[in-house]
Parts: sequence; C-alpha cells; structure tokens
Amino acid sequence: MAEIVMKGKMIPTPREPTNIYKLAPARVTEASIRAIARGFGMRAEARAGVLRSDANTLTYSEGPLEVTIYRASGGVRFRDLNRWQVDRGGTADLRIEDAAASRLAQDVAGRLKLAPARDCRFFKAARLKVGEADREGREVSERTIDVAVALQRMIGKVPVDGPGGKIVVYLDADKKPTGIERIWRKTAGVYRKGGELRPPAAALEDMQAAWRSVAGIIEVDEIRFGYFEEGYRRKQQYLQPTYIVLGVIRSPDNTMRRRVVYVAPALVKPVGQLTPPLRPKPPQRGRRGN
Amino acid sequence: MTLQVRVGVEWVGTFHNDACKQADLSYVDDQAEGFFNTMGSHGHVKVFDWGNDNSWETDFRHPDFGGDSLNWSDNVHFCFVADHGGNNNNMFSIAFSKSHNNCQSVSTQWRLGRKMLKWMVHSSCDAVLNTDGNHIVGVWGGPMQGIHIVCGYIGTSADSWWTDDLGEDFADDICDDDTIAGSWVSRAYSFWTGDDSIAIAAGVTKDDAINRRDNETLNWRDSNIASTNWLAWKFRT
Repeated sequence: MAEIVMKGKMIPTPREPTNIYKLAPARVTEASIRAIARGFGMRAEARAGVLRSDANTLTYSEGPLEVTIYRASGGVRFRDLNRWQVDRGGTADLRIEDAAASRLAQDVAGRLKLAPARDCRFFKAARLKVGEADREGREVSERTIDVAVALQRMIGKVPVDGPGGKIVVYLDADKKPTGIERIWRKTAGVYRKGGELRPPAAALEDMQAAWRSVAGIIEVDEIRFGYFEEGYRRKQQYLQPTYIVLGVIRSPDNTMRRRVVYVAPALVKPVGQLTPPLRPKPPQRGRRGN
Repeated sequence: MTLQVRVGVEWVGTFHNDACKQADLSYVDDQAEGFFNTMGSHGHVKVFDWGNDNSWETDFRHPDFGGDSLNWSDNVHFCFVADHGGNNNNMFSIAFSKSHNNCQSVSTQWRLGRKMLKWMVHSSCDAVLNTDGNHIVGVWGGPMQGIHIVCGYIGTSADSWWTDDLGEDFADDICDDDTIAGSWVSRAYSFWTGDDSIAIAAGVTKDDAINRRDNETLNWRDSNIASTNWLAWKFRT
C-alpha cells in the first residue's frame, strides 16, 4: 500500500460557491470545422483545402494552415505549420516578459473569440528554447524561439484545472500567433446547484484507498482546488469541483521518482468518478531467451 | 509516403519486492503500447512489446559491456521506453522489475545507433536534470553513437492518466510528417502536471545536428550519421 506523506501546505476548505454543470456533447462536423477554420482566417470553402477524418479527429488543412478537432472533447488545435515552433533563420531570440506575453495572448483570444476575457486568466508562459554544443561541450549556445501562453478557464472565481480548461497561444519571435490550442467544453446548464464541500484532507484518504495496490512512498507537494476538465481524447459529461493532488512517488532508495496526480471530488455529493480506477494489467506471456 | 520503420517498446510498471524494488507505476503501458499500436495502425512494423518482467536491461546494454542491445533496442528504428528514470553524475539510468541481469541499465553502457536505432524516447524522469549545455552533452554525448534523436524530460515527469495519451498523440503526429523533435517537445510538455520536455539531436556538424533537430521526420530513417560530433536540442520550460 502506498504511504502518503503531506509535504506541502494543506489548503483550507474553500468557501467559493460551486455547482455541478452539465457539459454539452462535442459537435464535430464538416460544417463546424469549416466554421472554426474561417475563424482562424482560412477560406474553408469546399475546394480550398483538404479535409481528413479518422476515429478520433477531424482535420482541415489549407496551405500551411491546419486545424484539428478532437471528436471526444471538441478540443481544437490550430497551427501554421510554416511558423509554429519554427526557428526562422536560426537567429531568432525572443525576449518577452510573462506579463507582456499574457497581454498578447489575451488579445489573440479576444480577437478570435476563443473566450471572454472575464472567463480566463493567465496561468503560465512556457518558452521553447534551442541550444547546440559540440561533443566536448564547447561552443554552447542557447536562444528562445517562441513562447506558449496558457490561459486558464475560470468559472466565477474558481479555476478549471486538469488537461482541459485551457487556451494555449503560441507566439513566435516576432510576437505573432503561430498556433492555438483550446480545450473548453461548453456547459449546458447547472446539473446540481451548490452543495457542501469536503475538507481537502479527504482527498488524501481517497488517494490512499484508490492506490492501495500501489507500493511506494508518495510525497504530496500541493493540493489545488478547481473544476476538473479532461483532455482532448476523453468524453466528459459533468464539470464539478475537485481537489487535485500533486505529488512525487519515490523508490525506497530515493534514486528513482515519478510525479503523480490524483483527482478527488470536492463535493460531499459528487457525480460519477473522476480518477479512473487502476485497471488490472493482463499478465504477459513469459519471454524466452537469454 | 512515409518510410516504414521498425518499432519496439518497453515499459515497467510493477516491480518485485526485492533488490529491484521501485515504486509501482500505473500508466507506463498506456503510453508505450499507445505508441506501439498507433505506429502499427499507420503501417509501421511492430517488432517487440516487452513489459514488466519481460523488459530486460540487457535489451539496452551494448555487447561491449556484455549486453544484447543489438538484438533488441538497437534492432529497431524507433524504441519507446516508459519507466522510472534517474540521473546521477551525468549517468542516466532506467529501472527493471527483475534482475536480468541487473536491476538497472546505465547510459554509460549504451551505444545507441551502432546498428539500426534512429530514435529513442525515454518517457521517464531525468533524461537530463537541467538544461545546462555541458550537462546535456555530458549525459548524451557518449551514448549517442549513430542514433539521430533522443527524447525525454528535464527532471521529473508524471505517471498519470492526464498524460497517458502521449504515445498515441506523438505517433499520430510523426506519422503525419510532423518533425520528431518538435512533436515530442510539444506533446510531452504539460502545463498542468509540470512536465518539461526535451529532444536532443545528433549530427556530424553543427548544421547537421540543427537540421535534424528542426526538420527530421520519419523519412530521414536512412540519413545516417557517420560520426556524432555535435548535439542540438530543443526544450520547453
């Protein structure tokens, strides 16, 4: 059984009013992707580009511009393939403070009508850097070629956490947008209003119970409170308040480690399951040989 | 048409309670087999899928050090490993559930690319501990001996269902002609779990290494590196 040790500071039980929201199923059709493509400046007429479809995604591309919608989530990924993450000329070196990058990203989000400004806040700016060195470690150099700015969805005063609930705007060395990611499921009304919140310590008890089959020591660094939204490839019916537990699981000799995440319901009366149960792994056929 | 590549994956999630004991991992098989099956669905050749006790450190250790890498990790073009990783004194190591013939494999006993291996992913912690150029070269300058690109993480990475689609996403991207380094750095970075991604390309010259870092796709399979004299990397933090 995993031993769970709280290393970080325990947060108090939140006081913000919360609801459980129903989420509308994603609408992923040829018409919807063309409408989104037009929003990103593509012509998106019948003969202007190429439409590709598979079980998980629908993709429309027109020249170097490409937009993909994920069927499960409705999540959108837009890229200008000639410019996204590209180190043009090999000399670019983007220098921009987080605050300025955030302003630019929020401008882009507003202009493209990705989300109302009041419904998102700056979360983090992550820079793409390149470096080189010879095998002896001489002539080391490093430059920044883009910045990806994550804007976090807010519902009232409560953030939306998890792999979804975000808009990411990629800005190149000229501070122009080169790509957009958006996982932002539409709400379809309140499923259940209000409700009593559990104390955050209850999340640790849930984690211990859920991971009773896992051996190791888990040091919890942080517990966050927020609505939880899934990533690109998963369907989700409800948006509800959660505690997100972030920690590190370590080997007994402390030489190996991995970060771990557990999501527990924050409401006394939640709906459905958040962290998927650990599924039993089928035994592998024994391997022969030396 | 993308060139067909041979793919092998190894993953270790359940460790025995003996000298090889490590904390168990829950999503390494999802990542590795997600990559394996998605590559297969795009027409690439699925060569081996070794998990838990079937994953052996000898699959990575070069014969110069008594290992069998040339029949396994270096007998495919693309090897994806999801496991525990550690890094100490510029030596990257990965852990195994049982000793065959050691509990860990250490990068100083790797000669990646001597035979066939072009690309390798380590979906584990600590491919590098930081982005200091001397550290990156110190860890990977020795083991990279013909391999084109190594992908991994800076410091810790998460074992979580938030990131268990990584193998599928990455495979879909590179089979759609996205660059290998660019796709890895983009897909493996996570704002929400704090995973910082890195891809390290080798080259005969500085321009060669940069070109591979910025432009190499699966179609560069046969564009061999005669001698690894330079490394060029990209990372997101």
